[in-house]
Amino acid sequence: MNKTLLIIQREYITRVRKKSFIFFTLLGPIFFLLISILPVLIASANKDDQKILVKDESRLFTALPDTAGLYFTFKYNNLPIEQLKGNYSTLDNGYDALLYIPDMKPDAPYGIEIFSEAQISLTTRIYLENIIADKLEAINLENQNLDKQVLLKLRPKVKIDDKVTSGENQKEGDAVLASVFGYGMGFIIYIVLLIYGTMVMRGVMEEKSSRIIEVIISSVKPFQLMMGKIVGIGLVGITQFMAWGFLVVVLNIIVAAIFGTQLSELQQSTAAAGGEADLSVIAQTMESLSAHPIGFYLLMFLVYFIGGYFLYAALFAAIGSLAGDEETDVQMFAMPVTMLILISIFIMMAVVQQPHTPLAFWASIIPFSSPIVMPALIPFGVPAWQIALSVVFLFAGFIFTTFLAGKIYRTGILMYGKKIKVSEVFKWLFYK
Amino acid sequence: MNDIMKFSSVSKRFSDVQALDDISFSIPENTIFGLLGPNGAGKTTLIRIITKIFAADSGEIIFDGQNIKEQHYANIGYMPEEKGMYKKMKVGEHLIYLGQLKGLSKIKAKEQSEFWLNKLGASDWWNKKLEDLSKGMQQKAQFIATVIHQPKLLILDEPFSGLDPVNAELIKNEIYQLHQQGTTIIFSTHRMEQVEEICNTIALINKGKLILNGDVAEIKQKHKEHLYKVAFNNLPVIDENQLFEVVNKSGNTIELKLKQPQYNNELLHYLISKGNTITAYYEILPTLNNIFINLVNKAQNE
Repeated sequence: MNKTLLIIQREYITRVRKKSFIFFTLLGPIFFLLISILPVLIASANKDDQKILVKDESRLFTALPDTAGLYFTFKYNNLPIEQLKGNYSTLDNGYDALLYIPDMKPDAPYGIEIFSEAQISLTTRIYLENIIADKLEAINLENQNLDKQVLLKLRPKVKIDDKVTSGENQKEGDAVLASVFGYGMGFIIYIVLLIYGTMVMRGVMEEKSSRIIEVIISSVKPFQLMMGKIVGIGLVGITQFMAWGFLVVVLNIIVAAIFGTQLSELQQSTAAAGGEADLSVIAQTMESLSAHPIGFYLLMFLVYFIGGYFLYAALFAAIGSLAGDEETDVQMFAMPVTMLILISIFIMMAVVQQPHTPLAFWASIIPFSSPIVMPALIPFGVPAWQIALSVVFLFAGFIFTTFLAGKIYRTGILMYGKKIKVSEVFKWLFYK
Repeated sequence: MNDIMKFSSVSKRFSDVQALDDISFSIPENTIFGLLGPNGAGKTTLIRIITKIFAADSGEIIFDGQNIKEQHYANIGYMPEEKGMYKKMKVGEHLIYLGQLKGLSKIKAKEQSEFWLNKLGASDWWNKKLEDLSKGMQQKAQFIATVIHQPKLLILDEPFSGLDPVNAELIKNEIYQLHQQGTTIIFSTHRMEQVEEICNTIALINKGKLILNGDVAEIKQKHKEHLYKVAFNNLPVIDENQLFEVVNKSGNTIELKLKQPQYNNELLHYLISKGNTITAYYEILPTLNNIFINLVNKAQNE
């Protein structure tokens, strides 16, 4: 069997078998799931029913609509407010709050108060303000002899449809959706580079500090070992992502089956609370979603995933080979590379807002930032020649860093004891 | 006897250090060859050039009649001084992996691993993680990994460091057995007493230069200082004389140095004529340690 293949196999199997790998692979989607359903769960768990006693001296209100957890009672209107303030929490089975609406004109609603023992939440207060305002609006309109429909017509809703003209094809544009795709892809690649790049670095450090390195490279070339490690760990990354993707889908199906009705009810009630659901927005999003070539995005994502990973993994391998017995040295050497990745993610965030600037162009061509920036730009429409140029540069870049890293790695892995100076590292590049 | 390895004018320089300076010598086939030198002499660099970890700046190395190449990896087994391993791996899979890297098939590697573990009384280690083994046990596993592919040339860098006497003896016997089966062994160390015990031929390196090379017995003859030890059955009677001087005297034994090597018989005549009764008489050959120290000191003074 080819020796590089053997190394890839070992790197892959020993990692995939590790408990920590299995743990994170299984737990990752559960975290993801928790994040997505937690708000819903918390909201439903927090649905603490509150009974509110309303004293309405204006006599404008006869009832207020109950909603998620708020129940209104109009009673004891003949009792003075001072007395009610003292005993609302003991009346009947006890009320949680007392809403006091003084005698007021519908166009001058001043002096409304709410009394409670426990602080009422902001959402409850806003809800109360909204329903009172709605009711007053209706009364005021009627007093002025105005029709609500007339009022709505006076201020029509404005929505701009953006279309992108690239070449002959006109395509449906959707800046929001493009941003979502862009951010998502850029961010995942950023995480991949950091997590698996660091894993490569640690692997090299481990081999160096455990001194196995000398045994191995009396059997294979250092370059084979380095490439074997990089490819092996890359495959670990792909495995992990595929497992996550698979688990997320499965978990979503399970969750939908269990909480399905509950979720949709909740969504409906939130939509109802937020006013009429704007169905046309959803429809339009679906429409422009189909206008995005998802398959092409995935392909480009994979290209930049692989190219970017190889480029940075080689650098991380070289840094790992410089490690002494102290961790701090490595962090010093690793910082420039980590900075490159961090700068790239900041550029990515900026260009998603402004996708057609010179910064966006150059950052999508330069191989150190292109793996993060280009996938984020593609949903905004990038000319084919620019993508081609970027991919060529990326692969040239990764061949270059791999070559460089190979030279540093070869010497670095055998340097023990003394601290390595940066100037020495440059000399190694020219060793035979 | 053929030479399994031949160095001609091998030099290697690291930025500010001349690690190897024009080294030429040969290693005869099927010898136990001692590569000696103080720490930092260049032994490890030389070994790393053999194992292709480094490339020499100049000079050539012939292995088995050919310029050394990567294909020769499969014929060389190397155990570095720092014994390293993948600590999280199990003994069995670790051995199979290293065997495969040396070009064995998986089946053959497994067969050999089992054979050697059995031989060293460690057949129950197969599923143990290396990190759970004691240091001595790890070193045995390391030894197996070095010989698993039945190399023609075995390079052992300080193989006994960290081993207890029982295990050191065990490994030593394995080295002898491999030698008898035709393996050439390069044994790199700075511990002279081990070399004296084990090696037939040596090369001594200091500061990157070869300062001594050849058969151990011949070297000793060449560097002997005509010292003799004589034992008597009573306190010896000796006067000032032209033949020898007394180097050391304790009880009934004296150590003396002949002024001329050919004075052997005269010495005995002289001692007997003084009425002494001799119970033992033998020549003291220098230990390699002494030769080594003398040569290194001499090199330093130059």
